[in-house]
Amino acid sequence: MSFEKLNLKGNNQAGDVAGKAAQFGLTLATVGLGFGVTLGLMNGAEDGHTHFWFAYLVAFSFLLTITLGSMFFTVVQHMVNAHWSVTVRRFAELTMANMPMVALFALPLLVPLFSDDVSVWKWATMAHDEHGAVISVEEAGHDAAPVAGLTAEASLAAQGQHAEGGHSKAEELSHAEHFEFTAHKFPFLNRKFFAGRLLLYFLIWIFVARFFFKKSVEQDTASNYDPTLAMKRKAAVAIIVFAFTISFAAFDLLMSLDETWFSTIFGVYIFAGAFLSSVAWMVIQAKFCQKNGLLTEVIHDEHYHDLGKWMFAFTFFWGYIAFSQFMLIWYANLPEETAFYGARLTEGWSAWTWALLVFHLIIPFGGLLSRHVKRNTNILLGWAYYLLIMQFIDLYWIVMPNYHRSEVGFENPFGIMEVSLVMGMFGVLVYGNARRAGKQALLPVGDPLLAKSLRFRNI
Amino acid sequence: MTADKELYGVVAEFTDVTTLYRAAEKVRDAGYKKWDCHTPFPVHGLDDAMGIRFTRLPWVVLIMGITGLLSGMYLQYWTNAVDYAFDISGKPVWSLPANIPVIFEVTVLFSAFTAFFAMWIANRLPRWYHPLFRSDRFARATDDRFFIALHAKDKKFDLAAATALLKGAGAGEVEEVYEANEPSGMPSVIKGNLWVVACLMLIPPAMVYASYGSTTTQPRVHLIPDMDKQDRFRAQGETELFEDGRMTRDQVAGTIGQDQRFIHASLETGKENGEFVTSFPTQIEVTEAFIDRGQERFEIYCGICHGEDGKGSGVIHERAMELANLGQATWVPPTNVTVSLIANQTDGMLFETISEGRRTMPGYAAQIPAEDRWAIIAYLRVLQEVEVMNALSPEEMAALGAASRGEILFTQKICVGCHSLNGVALVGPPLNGFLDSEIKLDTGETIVADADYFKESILDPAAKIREGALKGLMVLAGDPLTDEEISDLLEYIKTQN
Repeated sequence: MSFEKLNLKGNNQAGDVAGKAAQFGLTLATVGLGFGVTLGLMNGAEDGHTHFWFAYLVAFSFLLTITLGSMFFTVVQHMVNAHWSVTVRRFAELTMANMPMVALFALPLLVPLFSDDVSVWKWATMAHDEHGAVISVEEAGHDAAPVAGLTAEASLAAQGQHAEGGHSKAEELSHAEHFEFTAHKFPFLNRKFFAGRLLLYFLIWIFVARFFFKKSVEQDTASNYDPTLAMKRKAAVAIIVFAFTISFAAFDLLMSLDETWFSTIFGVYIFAGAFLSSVAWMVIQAKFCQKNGLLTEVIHDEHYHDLGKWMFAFTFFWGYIAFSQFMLIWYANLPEETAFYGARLTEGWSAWTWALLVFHLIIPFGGLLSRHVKRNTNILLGWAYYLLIMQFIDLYWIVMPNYHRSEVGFENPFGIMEVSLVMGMFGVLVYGNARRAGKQALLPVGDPLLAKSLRFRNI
Repeated sequence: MTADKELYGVVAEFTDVTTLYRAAEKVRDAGYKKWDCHTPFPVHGLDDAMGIRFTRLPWVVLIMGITGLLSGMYLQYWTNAVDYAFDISGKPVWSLPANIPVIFEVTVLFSAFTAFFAMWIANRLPRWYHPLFRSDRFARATDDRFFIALHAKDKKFDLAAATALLKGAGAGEVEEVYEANEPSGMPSVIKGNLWVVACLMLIPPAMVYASYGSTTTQPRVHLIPDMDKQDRFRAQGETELFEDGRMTRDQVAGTIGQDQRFIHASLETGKENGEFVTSFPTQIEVTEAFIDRGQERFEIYCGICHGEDGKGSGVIHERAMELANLGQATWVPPTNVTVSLIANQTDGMLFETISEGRRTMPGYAAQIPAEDRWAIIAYLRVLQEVEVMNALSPEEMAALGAASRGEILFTQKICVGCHSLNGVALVGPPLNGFLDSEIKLDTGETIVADADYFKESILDPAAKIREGALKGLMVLAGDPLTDEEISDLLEYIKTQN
């Protein structure tokens, strides 16, 4: 392959726009996070601000999933040698490069993990004795022995008591039962191993993100194709590592909030939302740049059309995975699996669940079906913002029913704190991208496939 | 090319794609509608250059996709919830989550088939022949040449002008193409092959037809043995898995099966503290609709034997009596459930009879839910009430002759349940011609069945037993008969001699 370099027309350097965007992002992050944290610290001191930590986990997951989705996007383009996406790939790269900053925002999660006062991951307090050592399976089995001896009748009777309000015995029982169902997971679900795994995930992600970002920037000024070829060689391995890490991170951070529940497809579910929101975020960035007179000559309707196709496809893929998870659990109707949907299909949460079906699947499916929508960039931008909001709603729906799940039923505490925290995290995202955007071209100018990407047309 | 052949159009050859593209724009701007470009590879943007409007195929696919969605939904609704409702693990017969995968598949199927075949139709495929193939030069359209063909049927078409236009647009050669004279049907090779396939497809049904109704001594072929012979637990089967060797397992202690309900004593058993209840359970509210339901259930389950009027002459009874009259069956006639003997029974007792059965009547607890059994009793009470209203007053009874009174008693006291009056042996001996006949007792002595014997047997059936008859088979329900009633009965029986 002979080396050649394109001479691009138009403005491909962010310049002042990046500074302004970074200023905006920083302001949003400061105000949003500041307001959210203040609200969180003002209330709920009696349970160690558990509500705040749940809300923080939702907002953090929002930031993390978009970052991870962008990383997947970048890597998979290299793996399949895609040419259409070259003009918009830098947006995904910029987002992915935020990974070290995202890791910083993961640090506060160590508070709910290691504090005995906060009850976010309930296994965290259950898995340890008073000296902090992990309870072994034998010990746990011994502790749980009285429960195993209980007949189902007694258990039913106890639950009946619970319904009538005299719940001291029932609570004891349910705690003991919980213990019984969870004890065998303690070798995996305990504080130190959990923290160690988080560290490992972030090390891997930071390594992958930095590698692909640095190589891509290197290619901008390189006089041969070595950086691109290096990325292509590593891409397939990175995808495999990504698949495992995002699955296990989803299991750890989100699924283990209900330590008795399990679903092997859960990682794919989180991935679907992550990819969908990262593509939506790319549309927002592309549109923002073009409105500010950047990249006007290189990104055209054909690229938006393809980004729109991804949004459409992953809207449906998300629904497909969500339904796959739901239907198997619904059909088998096994008590240890149905708890997740039991909580989300009763009382206050059922409206959110139905809303998710309608607003996260049916409406965007119909809305993004037409090619005219995908090629009308202003409408597409609207859908991109819409899908980011849906990603937040989805994460909130996954996390928040675990808050207060046994003490006062399943209450839905949605409020200003959740919104301001997630707005703050969005500000962090904007700031992270904008800060780096001015330091190199806004598209991989040295990529050998750039010329093809510029010529790219959908049929 | 002879002049008698119809002109198809002109075809122009181009050597490179850029010239073709520009030429296409010129032809488009010249206002031609019926024309086409032929290139060895897809040329992006050529459809714009040709002025072809965007395909309407997506709309067709969308409409058919929605049709598929609704069809998939209706298919399952109709088969699962309407035509053949079947309880699957206690889920509702029409339950959407279970149906989504099929709905999804049918939607995809309809969409994909529509896209595929509508594309064929839109492109007028399959097409066996095209006049352009008559041009030798045109063969290079699949190799390294680009062509524009203008159709002679276009309104603007004029041979000289079209040729000039194409020449002016940079075409190398412009050639006139004529339609073929011979019919352009399906090639004979394909036609022949289709015939062969069609004949081959007849073989399987022919084989099925040939072996239809034939028998064999060979065991059947198990194509998929592990589906035909499954490792599964059958009722009453044996297994080494459990210590007691039985496949049937007891219910796990402390659990309740899906079809088991908490027992509301009076509702489910008709008893309270071991006594039959005398009124309907509190869960039951007797309304007109409830009685209508009872009538419906009565006519379904009870009417075939007891008759829809409850008087014991249902279709099964009629048929059984026909057989009994021919001596081909023995038969215990169903009871007339409207008579006072039954009317005087408590609600709980009737409930137990329906649930557990009585004499040869089987229990219906398994077929009829408890609420429906109570509904049947409610309707039964209506039938009995009607009988009371239709009953004769004592004065009217007195005004009747003794034999007529005896005929009523013969029904009321359910003598008809065991004794026929036409010589057919049911449970008891037929009573026509029985009076004053000689009978042999189980003690061996022979006596005449006179009026005294009758009276004694009615009051104490076990006093004298006929030879071969079962002791205690004859029972009298309700109050003992008075002397007047017995003499009325005797008068009636005498008339039957």
